[in-house]
Amino acid sequence: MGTSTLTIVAPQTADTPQERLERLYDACRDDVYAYLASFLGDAGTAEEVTALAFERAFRRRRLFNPRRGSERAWLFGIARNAALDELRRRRRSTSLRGELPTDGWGSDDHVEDVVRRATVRDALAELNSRERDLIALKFHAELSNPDIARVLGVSESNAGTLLHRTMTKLRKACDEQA
Amino acid sequence: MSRHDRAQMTVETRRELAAIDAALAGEAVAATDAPLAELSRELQTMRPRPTDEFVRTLDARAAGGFERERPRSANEAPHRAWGWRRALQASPARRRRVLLTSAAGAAVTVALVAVLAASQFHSGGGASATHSGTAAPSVAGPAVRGPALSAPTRPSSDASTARADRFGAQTSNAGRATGEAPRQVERTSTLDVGVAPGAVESTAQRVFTLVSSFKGYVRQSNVGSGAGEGGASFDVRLPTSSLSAAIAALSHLGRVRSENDTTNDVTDQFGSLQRSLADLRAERASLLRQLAAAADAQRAAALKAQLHAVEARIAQSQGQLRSLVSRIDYTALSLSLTPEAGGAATPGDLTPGGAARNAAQILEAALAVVVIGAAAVFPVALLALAGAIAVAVTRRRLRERALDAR
Repeated sequence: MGTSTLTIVAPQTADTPQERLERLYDACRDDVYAYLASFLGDAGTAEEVTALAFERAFRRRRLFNPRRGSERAWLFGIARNAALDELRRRRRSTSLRGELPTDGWGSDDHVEDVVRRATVRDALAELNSRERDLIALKFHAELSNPDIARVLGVSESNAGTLLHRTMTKLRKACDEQA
Repeated sequence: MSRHDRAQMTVETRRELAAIDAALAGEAVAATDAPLAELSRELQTMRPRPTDEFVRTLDARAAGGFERERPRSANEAPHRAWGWRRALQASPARRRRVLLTSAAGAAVTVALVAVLAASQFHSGGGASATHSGTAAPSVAGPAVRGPALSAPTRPSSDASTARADRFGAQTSNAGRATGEAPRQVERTSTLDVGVAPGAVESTAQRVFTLVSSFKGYVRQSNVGSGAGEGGASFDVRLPTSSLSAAIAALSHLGRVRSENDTTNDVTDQFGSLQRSLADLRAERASLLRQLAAAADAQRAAALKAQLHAVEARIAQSQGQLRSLVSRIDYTALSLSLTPEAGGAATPGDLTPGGAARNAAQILEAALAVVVIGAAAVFPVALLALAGAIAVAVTRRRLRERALDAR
Protein backbone atom coordinates (compact mmCIF):
# COMPACT_ATOMS: atom_id res chain seq x y z
CA MET A 1 0.00 0.00 0.00
CA GLY A 2 2.84 2.39 0.83
CA THR A 3 4.82 1.90 -2.37
CA SER A 4 2.86 4.50 -4.38
CA THR A 5 4.17 7.35 -2.16
CA LEU A 6 7.77 6.54 -3.03
CA THR A 7 7.21 6.62 -6.79
CA ILE A 8 5.74 10.13 -6.64
CA VAL A 9 8.50 11.89 -4.71
CA ALA A 10 11.66 10.53 -6.33
CA PRO A 11 11.63 12.09 -9.84
CA GLN A 12 11.01 15.68 -8.65
CA THR A 13 13.79 15.79 -6.07
CA ALA A 14 16.31 14.37 -8.58
CA ASP A 15 15.87 17.43 -10.81
CA THR A 16 19.13 19.36 -10.74
CA PRO A 17 19.52 22.94 -12.01
CA GLN A 18 21.62 21.53 -14.86
CA GLU A 19 18.86 19.16 -15.98
CA ARG A 20 16.22 21.88 -15.69
CA LEU A 21 18.33 24.15 -17.84
CA GLU A 22 18.88 21.41 -20.43
CA ARG A 23 15.12 21.08 -20.75
CA LEU A 24 14.71 24.85 -20.87
CA TYR A 25 17.31 25.05 -23.63
CA ASP A 26 15.52 22.40 -25.70
CA ALA A 27 12.18 24.15 -25.27
CA CYS A 28 13.29 27.75 -25.79
CA ARG A 29 16.26 27.70 -28.18
CA ASP A 30 14.32 28.73 -31.29
CA ASP A 31 12.11 31.14 -29.31
CA VAL A 32 15.10 32.98 -27.89
CA TYR A 33 16.63 33.29 -31.34
CA ALA A 34 13.34 34.47 -32.85
CA TYR A 35 12.92 37.10 -30.15
CA LEU A 36 16.48 38.40 -30.47
CA ALA A 37 16.46 38.41 -34.28
CA SER A 38 13.25 40.39 -34.19
CA PHE A 39 14.41 42.71 -31.41
CA LEU A 40 17.89 43.40 -32.79
CA GLY A 41 16.91 43.27 -36.47
CA ASP A 42 20.06 41.47 -37.52
CA ALA A 43 20.37 37.70 -37.88
CA GLY A 44 24.12 37.52 -37.30
CA THR A 45 24.03 39.63 -34.16
CA ALA A 46 21.02 37.65 -32.95
CA GLU A 47 23.03 34.42 -33.25
CA GLU A 48 25.87 35.87 -31.19
CA VAL A 49 23.54 37.24 -28.52
CA THR A 50 21.54 33.99 -28.39
CA ALA A 51 24.72 32.08 -27.62
CA LEU A 52 25.71 34.72 -25.07
CA ALA A 53 22.29 34.58 -23.40
CA PHE A 54 22.43 30.80 -22.97
CA GLU A 55 26.02 31.04 -21.77
CA ARG A 56 24.90 33.50 -19.08
CA ALA A 57 21.91 31.33 -18.19
CA PHE A 58 24.14 28.26 -17.81
CA ARG A 59 26.52 30.24 -15.63
CA ARG A 60 23.71 31.57 -13.41
CA ARG A 61 21.50 28.46 -13.39
CA ARG A 62 21.81 28.08 -9.62
CA LEU A 63 20.59 31.64 -9.03
CA PHE A 64 17.15 30.95 -10.52
CA ASN A 65 14.41 31.50 -7.94
CA PRO A 66 11.03 29.98 -8.89
CA ARG A 67 9.25 32.39 -6.53
CA ARG A 68 10.28 35.31 -8.75
CA GLY A 69 8.68 33.97 -11.93
CA SER A 70 8.84 31.12 -14.42
CA GLU A 71 12.06 29.74 -15.86
CA ARG A 72 10.99 30.97 -19.27
CA ALA A 73 10.59 34.55 -18.02
CA TRP A 74 13.95 34.29 -16.25
CA LEU A 75 15.66 33.13 -19.45
CA PHE A 76 14.09 35.85 -21.59
CA GLY A 77 15.07 38.45 -18.97
CA ILE A 78 18.67 37.34 -19.43
CA ALA A 79 18.30 37.38 -23.21
CA ARG A 80 16.81 40.88 -23.18
CA ASN A 81 19.59 42.21 -20.94
CA ALA A 82 22.18 40.67 -23.26
CA ALA A 83 20.50 42.32 -26.24
CA LEU A 84 20.39 45.70 -24.48
CA ASP A 85 24.09 45.34 -23.62
CA GLU A 86 24.77 44.65 -27.29
CA LEU A 87 22.79 47.74 -28.30
CA ARG A 88 24.79 49.84 -25.88
CA ARG A 89 28.05 48.42 -27.19
CA ARG A 90 27.02 49.11 -30.79
CA ARG A 91 25.97 52.62 -29.87
CA ARG A 92 29.44 53.29 -28.47
CA SER A 93 31.22 52.04 -31.59
CA THR A 94 29.08 51.58 -34.65
CA SER A 95 25.48 50.79 -35.31
CA LEU A 96 23.48 48.66 -37.67
CA ARG A 97 19.96 49.62 -38.60
CA GLY A 98 17.54 47.21 -36.97
CA GLU A 99 15.09 45.54 -39.32
CA LEU A 100 13.17 42.30 -39.08
CA PRO A 101 15.27 39.63 -40.85
CA THR A 102 13.50 38.13 -43.85
CA ASP A 103 13.81 34.74 -45.51
CA GLY A 104 13.13 36.39 -48.85
CA TRP A 105 10.15 35.90 -51.12
CA GLY A 106 9.24 32.45 -52.26
CA SER A 107 8.22 31.95 -55.87
CA ASP A 108 5.02 30.27 -54.63
CA ASP A 109 3.99 33.27 -52.52
CA HIS A 110 0.85 35.03 -53.68
CA VAL A 111 1.20 38.68 -54.52
CA GLU A 112 -1.37 39.48 -51.83
CA ASP A 113 0.71 37.66 -49.22
CA VAL A 114 3.88 39.45 -50.27
CA VAL A 115 2.22 42.85 -50.20
CA ARG A 116 0.45 42.19 -46.88
CA ARG A 117 3.68 41.03 -45.27
CA ALA A 118 5.52 44.07 -46.59
CA THR A 119 2.74 46.27 -45.23
CA VAL A 120 3.04 44.74 -41.76
CA ARG A 121 6.82 45.01 -41.97
CA ASP A 122 6.61 48.72 -42.84
CA ALA A 123 4.03 49.26 -40.09
CA LEU A 124 6.37 47.58 -37.60
CA ALA A 125 9.11 50.00 -38.63
CA GLU A 126 6.88 52.85 -37.48
CA LEU A 127 6.75 51.49 -33.93
CA ASN A 128 9.32 52.64 -31.40
CA SER A 129 11.86 50.25 -29.91
CA ARG A 130 9.84 49.48 -26.79
CA GLU A 131 6.78 48.63 -28.86
CA ARG A 132 8.79 46.40 -31.20
CA ASP A 133 10.26 44.73 -28.11
CA LEU A 134 6.74 43.99 -26.90
CA ILE A 135 5.71 42.58 -30.29
CA ALA A 136 8.80 40.37 -30.38
CA LEU A 137 8.14 39.05 -26.87
CA LYS A 138 4.49 38.25 -27.63
CA PHE A 139 4.55 36.93 -31.19
CA HIS A 140 8.11 35.70 -31.76
CA ALA A 141 9.15 34.59 -28.27
CA GLU A 142 5.56 33.44 -27.73
CA LEU A 143 5.55 34.49 -24.09
CA SER A 144 2.38 34.68 -22.02
CA ASN A 145 1.33 38.08 -20.71
CA PRO A 146 2.46 37.29 -17.12
CA ASP A 147 5.88 36.26 -18.46
CA ILE A 148 6.12 39.45 -20.55
CA ALA A 149 5.33 41.45 -17.41
CA ARG A 150 8.08 39.62 -15.56
CA VAL A 151 10.65 40.24 -18.33
CA LEU A 152 9.82 43.94 -18.58
CA GLY A 153 9.56 44.44 -14.83
CA VAL A 154 6.01 45.77 -14.92
CA SER A 155 2.69 44.55 -13.55
CA GLU A 156 0.64 42.04 -15.53
CA SER A 157 -2.18 44.51 -16.16
CA ASN A 158 0.35 47.12 -17.27
CA ALA A 159 1.88 44.63 -19.71
CA GLY A 160 -1.58 43.83 -21.10
CA THR A 161 -2.42 47.51 -21.53
CA LEU A 162 0.91 48.18 -23.26
CA LEU A 163 0.35 45.26 -25.61
CA HIS A 164 -3.16 46.42 -26.40
CA ARG A 165 -1.99 49.96 -27.17
CA THR A 166 0.82 48.64 -29.34
CA MET A 167 -1.52 46.40 -31.33
CA THR A 168 -3.95 49.29 -31.80
CA LYS A 169 -1.13 51.48 -33.10
CA LEU A 170 0.12 48.70 -35.37
CA ARG A 171 -3.36 48.13 -36.85
CA LYS A 172 -3.68 51.83 -37.50
CA ALA A 173 -0.27 51.92 -39.18
CA CYS A 174 -1.22 48.91 -41.32
CA ASP A 175 -4.43 50.63 -42.41
CA GLU A 176 -2.48 53.75 -43.36
CA GLN A 177 0.12 51.72 -45.27
CA ALA A 178 -2.62 49.89 -47.17
CA MET B 1 -11.97 60.30 -18.67
CA SER B 2 -14.62 58.98 -16.32
CA ARG B 3 -14.36 55.85 -14.23
CA HIS B 4 -17.05 54.33 -16.41
CA ASP B 5 -14.93 54.93 -19.55
CA ARG B 6 -11.88 53.39 -17.91
CA ALA B 7 -13.94 50.36 -16.98
CA GLN B 8 -15.20 50.10 -20.58
CA MET B 9 -11.65 50.31 -21.87
CA THR B 10 -10.49 47.59 -19.53
CA VAL B 11 -13.22 45.30 -20.75
CA GLU B 12 -12.30 45.99 -24.37
CA THR B 13 -8.61 45.51 -23.65
CA ARG B 14 -9.25 42.17 -21.99
CA ARG B 15 -11.46 41.02 -24.85
CA GLU B 16 -8.85 41.93 -27.48
CA LEU B 17 -6.00 40.37 -25.52
CA ALA B 18 -8.05 37.19 -25.25
CA ALA B 19 -8.69 37.35 -29.01
CA ILE B 20 -4.93 37.63 -29.66
CA ASP B 21 -4.22 34.61 -27.47
CA ALA B 22 -7.00 32.66 -29.16
CA ALA B 23 -5.67 33.52 -32.62
CA LEU B 24 -2.14 32.45 -31.65
CA ALA B 25 -3.54 29.18 -30.32
CA GLY B 26 -5.38 28.60 -33.61
CA GLU B 27 -8.80 29.00 -32.06
CA ALA B 28 -11.80 30.78 -33.55
CA VAL B 29 -12.50 34.41 -32.59
CA ALA B 30 -15.57 36.64 -32.77
CA ALA B 31 -16.22 38.41 -36.07
CA THR B 32 -15.46 41.84 -34.52
CA ASP B 33 -11.97 40.66 -33.63
CA ALA B 34 -11.23 38.99 -36.98
CA PRO B 35 -8.86 41.76 -38.26
CA LEU B 36 -6.93 41.68 -35.00
CA ALA B 37 -6.69 37.90 -35.16
CA GLU B 38 -5.47 38.08 -38.76
CA LEU B 39 -2.78 40.59 -37.83
CA SER B 40 -1.72 38.40 -34.90
CA ARG B 41 -1.37 35.37 -37.14
CA GLU B 42 0.55 37.43 -39.71
CA LEU B 43 2.99 38.58 -37.01
CA GLN B 44 3.36 34.98 -35.91
CA THR B 45 4.27 33.85 -39.44
CA MET B 46 6.98 36.55 -39.60
CA ARG B 47 8.80 34.89 -36.71
CA PRO B 48 12.52 34.60 -37.64
CA ARG B 49 13.96 31.08 -37.75
CA PRO B 50 17.55 30.10 -36.97
CA THR B 51 19.67 28.52 -39.70
CA ASP B 52 20.50 24.82 -39.46
CA GLU B 53 24.19 25.63 -39.17
CA PHE B 54 23.62 27.94 -36.21
CA VAL B 55 21.38 25.37 -34.51
CA ARG B 56 24.08 22.71 -34.90
CA THR B 57 26.75 25.03 -33.47
CA LEU B 58 24.58 26.09 -30.55
CA ASP B 59 23.59 22.50 -29.74
CA ALA B 60 27.24 21.54 -29.67
CA ARG B 61 27.99 24.39 -27.27
CA ALA B 62 25.02 23.41 -25.11
CA ALA B 63 26.30 19.84 -24.99
CA GLY B 64 29.57 21.27 -23.68
CA GLY B 65 27.75 23.19 -20.97
CA PHE B 66 28.47 26.51 -22.71
CA GLU B 67 32.01 26.53 -21.42
CA ARG B 68 34.14 29.34 -22.73
CA GLU B 69 36.51 28.39 -25.53
CA ARG B 70 39.58 26.57 -24.23
CA PRO B 71 42.18 24.20 -25.67
CA ARG B 72 41.03 20.63 -26.21
CA SER B 73 43.13 17.65 -26.99
CA ALA B 74 42.30 15.86 -30.21
CA ASN B 75 40.52 12.94 -28.56
CA GLU B 76 38.40 14.98 -26.15
CA ALA B 77 34.79 15.07 -27.23
CA PRO B 78 32.94 18.37 -26.84
CA HIS B 79 30.11 16.79 -24.86
CA ARG B 80 32.41 15.32 -22.26
CA ALA B 81 32.17 18.23 -19.85
CA TRP B 82 28.44 17.74 -19.54
CA GLY B 83 28.72 14.16 -18.34
CA TRP B 84 31.63 15.09 -16.10
CA ARG B 85 29.55 17.76 -14.42
CA ARG B 86 26.62 15.43 -14.01
CA ALA B 87 28.88 12.94 -12.26
CA LEU B 88 30.06 15.72 -9.97
CA GLN B 89 26.55 16.55 -8.99
CA ALA B 90 25.87 12.95 -8.13
CA SER B 91 28.97 12.46 -5.98
CA PRO B 92 29.53 14.56 -2.84
CA ALA B 93 33.12 13.34 -2.57
CA ARG B 94 33.90 14.53 -6.06
CA ARG B 95 32.09 17.75 -5.42
CA ARG B 96 34.31 18.36 -2.39
CA ARG B 97 37.32 17.66 -4.59
CA VAL B 98 36.11 20.21 -7.11
CA LEU B 99 35.55 22.76 -4.36
CA LEU B 100 39.09 22.19 -3.13
CA THR B 101 40.41 22.54 -6.66
CA SER B 102 38.40 25.72 -7.12
CA ALA B 103 39.73 27.11 -3.85
CA ALA B 104 43.25 26.25 -4.94
CA GLY B 105 42.58 27.91 -8.28
CA ALA B 106 41.31 31.01 -6.51
CA ALA B 107 44.41 31.06 -4.32
CA VAL B 108 46.63 30.73 -7.38
CA THR B 109 44.74 33.57 -9.05
CA VAL B 110 45.23 35.77 -5.98
CA ALA B 111 48.89 34.82 -5.96
CA LEU B 112 49.17 35.64 -9.66
CA VAL B 113 47.64 39.06 -9.04
CA ALA B 114 50.01 39.55 -6.13
CA VAL B 115 53.00 38.58 -8.28
CA LEU B 116 51.92 41.00 -10.99
CA ALA B 117 51.46 43.72 -8.37
CA ALA B 118 54.84 42.90 -6.82
CA SER B 119 56.57 42.99 -10.19
CA GLN B 120 55.00 46.40 -10.77
CA PHE B 121 56.49 47.62 -7.48
CA HIS B 122 59.90 46.09 -8.20
CA SER B 123 60.26 47.34 -11.77
CA GLY B 124 58.67 50.75 -11.34
CA GLY B 125 55.51 49.90 -13.21
CA GLY B 126 57.04 48.95 -16.57
CA ALA B 127 58.71 45.98 -18.19
CA SER B 128 61.86 44.79 -16.48
CA ALA B 129 65.39 45.69 -17.55
CA THR B 130 65.91 42.24 -19.02
CA HIS B 131 63.88 43.40 -22.03
CA SER B 132 66.40 45.96 -23.21
CA GLY B 133 68.31 45.41 -26.41
CA THR B 134 67.22 41.83 -26.91
CA ALA B 135 64.40 42.24 -29.37
CA ALA B 136 64.32 39.74 -32.17
CA PRO B 137 63.74 40.79 -35.79
CA SER B 138 60.31 42.06 -36.54
CA VAL B 139 57.50 39.58 -36.96
CA ALA B 140 55.79 40.38 -40.20
CA GLY B 141 52.41 41.96 -39.62
CA PRO B 142 49.36 41.04 -41.66
CA ALA B 143 48.75 42.71 -44.98
CA VAL B 144 46.79 45.92 -44.79
CA ARG B 145 44.47 47.56 -47.27
CA GLY B 146 44.31 51.24 -48.00
CA PRO B 147 46.26 53.89 -46.12
CA ALA B 148 47.95 51.86 -43.41
CA LEU B 149 50.24 52.87 -40.62
CA SER B 150 52.66 50.15 -39.57
CA ALA B 151 54.42 50.67 -36.28
CA PRO B 152 58.05 49.50 -36.35
CA THR B 153 59.17 46.70 -34.08
CA ARG B 154 61.06 48.21 -31.20
CA PRO B 155 63.22 46.97 -28.36
CA SER B 156 61.00 45.91 -25.54
CA SER B 157 62.65 47.73 -22.65
CA ASP B 158 60.02 50.43 -22.74
CA ALA B 159 57.34 48.26 -24.26
CA SER B 160 54.62 48.78 -21.70
CA THR B 161 54.96 52.53 -21.28
CA ALA B 162 55.48 53.18 -24.99
CA ARG B 163 52.47 51.02 -25.83
CA ALA B 164 50.25 52.87 -23.39
CA ASP B 165 51.39 56.24 -24.72
CA ARG B 166 50.89 55.26 -28.34
CA PHE B 167 47.37 53.94 -27.90
CA GLY B 168 46.52 56.88 -25.66
CA ALA B 169 47.73 59.29 -28.32
CA GLN B 170 45.68 57.57 -30.99
CA THR B 171 42.59 57.75 -28.87
CA SER B 172 43.04 61.42 -28.14
CA ASN B 173 43.76 62.19 -31.79
CA ALA B 174 40.57 60.46 -32.74
CA GLY B 175 38.77 62.40 -30.06
CA ARG B 176 40.04 65.71 -31.44
CA ALA B 177 38.68 64.96 -34.89
CA THR B 178 35.24 66.07 -33.85
CA GLY B 179 32.47 67.39 -36.03
CA GLU B 180 32.49 64.34 -38.32
CA ALA B 181 31.62 60.69 -37.96
CA PRO B 182 34.18 58.81 -35.82
CA ARG B 183 37.04 57.20 -37.71
CA GLN B 184 36.71 53.44 -38.11
CA VAL B 185 40.06 51.76 -37.58
CA GLU B 186 40.93 48.10 -37.95
CA ARG B 187 43.92 46.89 -35.93
CA THR B 188 46.11 43.83 -36.01
CA SER B 189 48.95 43.01 -33.62
CA THR B 190 51.63 40.41 -33.18
CA LEU B 191 53.41 39.62 -29.93
CA ASP B 192 56.25 37.17 -29.37
CA VAL B 193 56.97 36.34 -25.74
CA GLY B 194 59.94 34.29 -24.58
CA VAL B 195 59.24 31.85 -21.74
CA ALA B 196 61.27 29.19 -19.94
CA PRO B 197 61.22 25.86 -21.89
CA GLY B 198 59.43 24.01 -19.10
CA ALA B 199 56.80 26.67 -18.65
CA VAL B 200 55.22 26.75 -22.09
CA GLU B 201 52.15 24.69 -21.22
CA SER B 202 51.42 26.45 -17.94
CA THR B 203 51.92 29.84 -19.60
CA ALA B 204 49.60 28.76 -22.42
CA GLN B 205 46.89 28.06 -19.85
CA ARG B 206 47.46 31.53 -18.43
CA VAL B 207 46.98 33.01 -21.88
CA PHE B 208 43.45 31.62 -21.99
CA THR B 209 42.65 33.00 -18.55
CA LEU B 210 44.00 36.45 -19.39
CA VAL B 211 42.29 36.63 -22.77
CA SER B 212 39.00 35.59 -21.20
CA SER B 213 39.35 38.18 -18.44
CA PHE B 214 39.62 40.90 -21.08
CA LYS B 215 36.44 39.56 -22.74
CA GLY B 216 38.37 38.29 -25.71
CA TYR B 217 38.57 34.79 -27.10
CA VAL B 218 41.12 32.44 -28.58
CA ARG B 219 40.21 31.63 -32.16
CA GLN B 220 42.93 29.07 -32.74
CA SER B 221 45.74 27.71 -30.63
CA ASN B 222 48.64 25.37 -31.06
CA VAL B 223 50.63 24.26 -28.04
CA GLY B 224 53.65 22.03 -28.65
CA SER B 225 54.77 19.87 -25.77
CA GLY B 226 57.58 17.79 -27.26
CA ALA B 227 61.01 17.88 -25.64
CA GLY B 228 63.01 20.67 -27.22
CA GLU B 229 60.22 21.45 -29.64
CA GLY B 230 57.96 23.39 -27.30
CA GLY B 231 56.32 26.62 -28.18
CA ALA B 232 52.81 27.86 -28.60
CA SER B 233 50.94 30.11 -30.95
CA PHE B 234 47.53 31.68 -30.54
CA ASP B 235 45.18 33.50 -32.85
CA VAL B 236 43.42 35.79 -30.39
CA ARG B 237 40.59 38.29 -30.77
CA LEU B 238 40.53 41.08 -28.20
CA PRO B 239 38.08 43.97 -27.79
CA THR B 240 39.89 46.94 -29.31
CA SER B 241 38.91 49.08 -26.33
CA SER B 242 40.97 46.91 -23.98
CA LEU B 243 43.78 46.00 -26.39
CA SER B 244 46.57 47.98 -24.74
CA ALA B 245 45.73 46.66 -21.26
CA ALA B 246 45.48 43.08 -22.58
CA ILE B 247 48.83 43.25 -24.40
CA ALA B 248 50.45 44.78 -21.31
CA ALA B 249 49.14 41.86 -19.23
CA LEU B 250 50.23 39.27 -21.81
CA SER B 251 53.69 40.87 -21.95
CA HIS B 252 54.14 39.97 -18.28
CA LEU B 253 53.94 36.26 -19.10
CA GLY B 254 57.62 36.35 -20.01
CA ARG B 255 60.19 38.40 -21.90
CA VAL B 256 58.85 40.33 -24.89
CA ARG B 257 60.93 39.33 -27.90
CA SER B 258 59.11 41.37 -30.50
CA GLU B 259 55.90 43.24 -30.98
CA ASN B 260 54.18 44.72 -34.00
CA ASP B 261 51.01 46.75 -34.30
CA THR B 262 49.27 47.66 -37.53
CA THR B 263 46.33 50.01 -38.00
CA ASN B 264 44.17 50.35 -41.05
CA ASP B 265 41.65 53.16 -41.45
CA VAL B 266 38.49 51.63 -42.96
CA THR B 267 36.19 54.62 -42.55
CA ASP B 268 35.72 54.99 -46.31
CA GLN B 269 34.95 51.31 -46.78
CA PHE B 270 32.53 51.42 -43.84
CA GLY B 271 30.73 54.48 -45.20
CA SER B 272 30.59 53.00 -48.67
CA LEU B 273 28.97 49.81 -47.36
CA GLN B 274 26.44 51.78 -45.34
CA ARG B 275 25.50 53.91 -48.37
CA SER B 276 25.24 50.83 -50.55
CA LEU B 277 22.92 49.20 -48.01
CA ALA B 278 20.74 52.32 -47.83
CA ASP B 279 20.48 52.42 -51.64
CA LEU B 280 19.50 48.76 -51.77
CA ARG B 281 16.82 49.27 -49.13
CA ALA B 282 15.42 52.19 -51.08
CA GLU B 283 15.39 50.04 -54.20
CA ARG B 284 13.53 47.30 -52.34
CA ALA B 285 10.92 49.78 -51.10
CA SER B 286 10.42 51.02 -54.65
CA LEU B 287 10.01 47.47 -55.96
CA LEU B 288 7.47 46.69 -53.26
CA ARG B 289 5.43 49.72 -54.25
CA GLN B 290 5.55 48.64 -57.89
CA LEU B 291 4.56 45.12 -56.92
CA ALA B 292 1.56 46.39 -55.01
CA ALA B 293 0.44 48.27 -58.10
CA ALA B 294 1.25 45.51 -60.60
CA ALA B 295 -1.69 44.88 -62.91
CA ASP B 296 -0.82 41.56 -64.54
CA ALA B 297 0.76 38.33 -63.32
CA GLN B 298 3.74 38.52 -65.70
CA ARG B 299 4.75 41.93 -64.40
CA ALA B 300 4.29 40.75 -60.80
CA ALA B 301 6.50 37.71 -61.43
CA ALA B 302 9.23 39.89 -62.90
CA LEU B 303 9.08 42.26 -59.92
CA LYS B 304 9.25 39.35 -57.49
CA ALA B 305 12.37 38.09 -59.23
CA GLN B 306 13.94 41.55 -58.91
CA LEU B 307 12.93 41.69 -55.24
CA HIS B 308 14.58 38.35 -54.65
CA ALA B 309 17.82 39.60 -56.20
CA VAL B 310 17.78 42.83 -54.18
CA GLU B 311 17.12 40.89 -50.96
CA ALA B 312 20.15 38.73 -51.72
CA ARG B 313 22.32 41.80 -52.29
CA ILE B 314 21.05 43.36 -49.04
CA ALA B 315 21.95 40.18 -47.15
CA GLN B 316 25.40 40.19 -48.78
CA SER B 317 26.03 43.86 -47.88
CA GLN B 318 24.82 43.28 -44.34
CA GLY B 319 27.22 40.36 -44.03
CA GLN B 320 30.14 42.46 -45.29
CA LEU B 321 29.25 45.29 -42.92
CA ARG B 322 28.90 42.90 -40.01
CA SER B 323 32.26 41.37 -40.77
CA LEU B 324 33.89 44.80 -40.97
CA VAL B 325 32.30 45.92 -37.68
CA SER B 326 33.55 42.74 -36.06
CA ARG B 327 37.09 43.48 -37.28
CA ILE B 328 36.84 47.05 -35.96
CA ASP B 329 35.52 46.02 -32.56
CA TYR B 330 37.89 43.09 -32.13
CA THR B 331 41.62 43.30 -32.82
CA ALA B 332 43.36 40.21 -34.18
CA LEU B 333 46.39 39.40 -32.06
CA SER B 334 48.88 36.77 -33.20
CA LEU B 335 50.58 35.66 -29.99
CA SER B 336 53.60 33.35 -29.85
CA LEU B 337 55.22 31.78 -26.83
CA THR B 338 58.83 30.90 -27.69
CA PRO B 339 60.94 28.74 -25.37
CA GLU B 340 64.16 30.43 -24.31
CA ALA B 341 66.81 28.33 -22.61
CA GLY B 342 68.71 31.32 -21.22
CA GLY B 343 65.65 33.28 -20.24
CA ALA B 344 65.67 35.25 -17.00
CA ALA B 345 63.35 34.39 -14.15
CA THR B 346 59.82 35.33 -15.08
CA PRO B 347 56.42 34.55 -13.65
CA GLY B 348 56.29 31.64 -16.09
CA ASP B 349 59.75 30.31 -15.23
CA LEU B 350 59.49 26.90 -13.56
CA THR B 351 63.20 26.33 -12.99
CA PRO B 352 64.09 25.89 -9.28
CA GLY B 353 65.74 29.32 -9.06
CA GLY B 354 62.96 31.09 -10.88
CA ALA B 355 60.29 29.29 -8.88
CA ALA B 356 61.99 30.27 -5.62
CA ARG B 357 62.15 33.90 -6.67
CA ASN B 358 58.50 33.81 -7.70
CA ALA B 359 57.54 32.19 -4.40
CA ALA B 360 59.32 34.91 -2.46
CA GLN B 361 57.57 37.56 -4.47
CA ILE B 362 54.22 35.86 -3.92
CA LEU B 363 54.73 35.71 -0.16
CA GLU B 364 55.89 39.31 -0.03
CA ALA B 365 52.98 40.60 -2.07
CA ALA B 366 50.43 38.36 -0.34
CA LEU B 367 51.55 39.67 3.06
CA ALA B 368 51.21 43.24 1.85
CA VAL B 369 47.76 42.50 0.46
CA VAL B 370 46.62 40.94 3.77
CA VAL B 371 47.84 43.89 5.86
CA ILE B 372 46.31 46.49 3.59
CA GLY B 373 43.12 44.48 3.20
CA ALA B 374 42.68 44.10 6.97
CA ALA B 375 42.96 47.85 7.46
CA ALA B 376 40.55 48.63 4.67
CA VAL B 377 38.02 45.81 4.96
CA PHE B 378 35.20 47.63 6.75
CA PRO B 379 35.01 50.82 4.71
CA VAL B 380 35.64 48.82 1.57
CA ALA B 381 32.80 46.44 2.41
CA LEU B 382 30.44 49.35 2.95
CA LEU B 383 31.58 51.02 -0.24
CA ALA B 384 31.23 47.74 -2.12
CA LEU B 385 27.67 47.30 -0.91
CA ALA B 386 26.72 50.85 -1.86
CA GLY B 387 28.56 50.42 -5.15
CA ALA B 388 26.79 47.17 -5.95
CA ILE B 389 23.40 48.78 -5.43
CA ALA B 390 24.39 51.82 -7.48
CA VAL B 391 25.78 49.62 -10.26
CA ALA B 392 22.61 47.52 -10.39
CA VAL B 393 20.39 50.59 -10.61
CA THR B 394 22.64 52.38 -13.10
CA ARG B 395 23.00 49.31 -15.29
CA ARG B 396 19.26 48.91 -15.52
CA ARG B 397 18.81 52.57 -16.41
CA LEU B 398 21.57 52.47 -19.02
CA ARG B 399 20.09 49.37 -20.61
CA GLU B 400 16.68 50.93 -20.85
CA ARG B 401 18.25 54.12 -22.20
CA ALA B 402 19.91 52.09 -24.95
CA LEU B 403 16.45 51.02 -26.00
CA ASP B 404 15.13 54.59 -25.98
CA ALA B 405 18.09 55.90 -27.97
CA ARG B 406 17.69 53.32 -30.71
